[in-house]
Amino acid sequence: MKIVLNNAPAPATPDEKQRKLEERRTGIFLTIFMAPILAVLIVSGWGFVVWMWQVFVAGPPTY
Amino acid sequence: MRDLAIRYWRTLTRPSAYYSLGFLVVSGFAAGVIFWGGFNTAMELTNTEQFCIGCHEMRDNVYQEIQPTIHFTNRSGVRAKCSDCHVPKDWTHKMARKMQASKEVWGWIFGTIDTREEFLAKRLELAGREWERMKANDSRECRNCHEFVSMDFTRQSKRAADAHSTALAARVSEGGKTCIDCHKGIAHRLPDMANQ
Repeated sequence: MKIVLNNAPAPATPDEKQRKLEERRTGIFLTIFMAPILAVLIVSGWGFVVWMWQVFVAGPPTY
Repeated sequence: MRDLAIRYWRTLTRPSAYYSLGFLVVSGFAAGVIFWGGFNTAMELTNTEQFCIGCHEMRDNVYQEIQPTIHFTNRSGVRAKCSDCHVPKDWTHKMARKMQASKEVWGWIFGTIDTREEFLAKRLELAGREWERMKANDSRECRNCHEFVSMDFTRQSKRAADAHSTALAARVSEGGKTCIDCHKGIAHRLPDMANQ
């Protein structure tokens, strides 16, 4: 049995080629820029919220 | 421009026609592992002594003062570096502390502490913040290394043994004391409290 790693059809028409190009660009953009930036924003946002909570409500951290 | 955005939004929200699910999931997972490793490495970098003394505020003041103390050099070669005492270990509180450091960046940009005199003038306020924090967390950073249950009172001076076996033995909520209540100014010099 022959194992094929990629069973996706090869793009034939110019429209399909364009779609494949856009899929590749979108994927790269998501993994290299969007996801890391979002992750950093979420973590620093959470840190900021906890800090503000300490400043205005809870007082200095007990940990 | 609008058409372009709509086209890419469609690409983003529909299944891929040309890249397999296996490839997308595995590459996303790998990218996630690499990112998280990088994130933690960067986070560790901001915990190093070199990073802390990268600014003159720390290098010229508090870093000079800790050097003659036992927390910097000692017979057994264990050093308590800046982050051991000043950054919480717990993840959420660590992130909060890192965000709090944005205020230190603010102070650096606007030159809040440019001279020794400015530092000395602010010292009581800065030290007071740390004292309050260590009081609130029951001197957790001291206790990361110094454990009450491991103390041998017979090897302490009488004055120390008397204090540790009474005040330190009780919970703060029951009228006891925590390390920082007595041990202020042990790693950096005390503020001038003549006017307090």
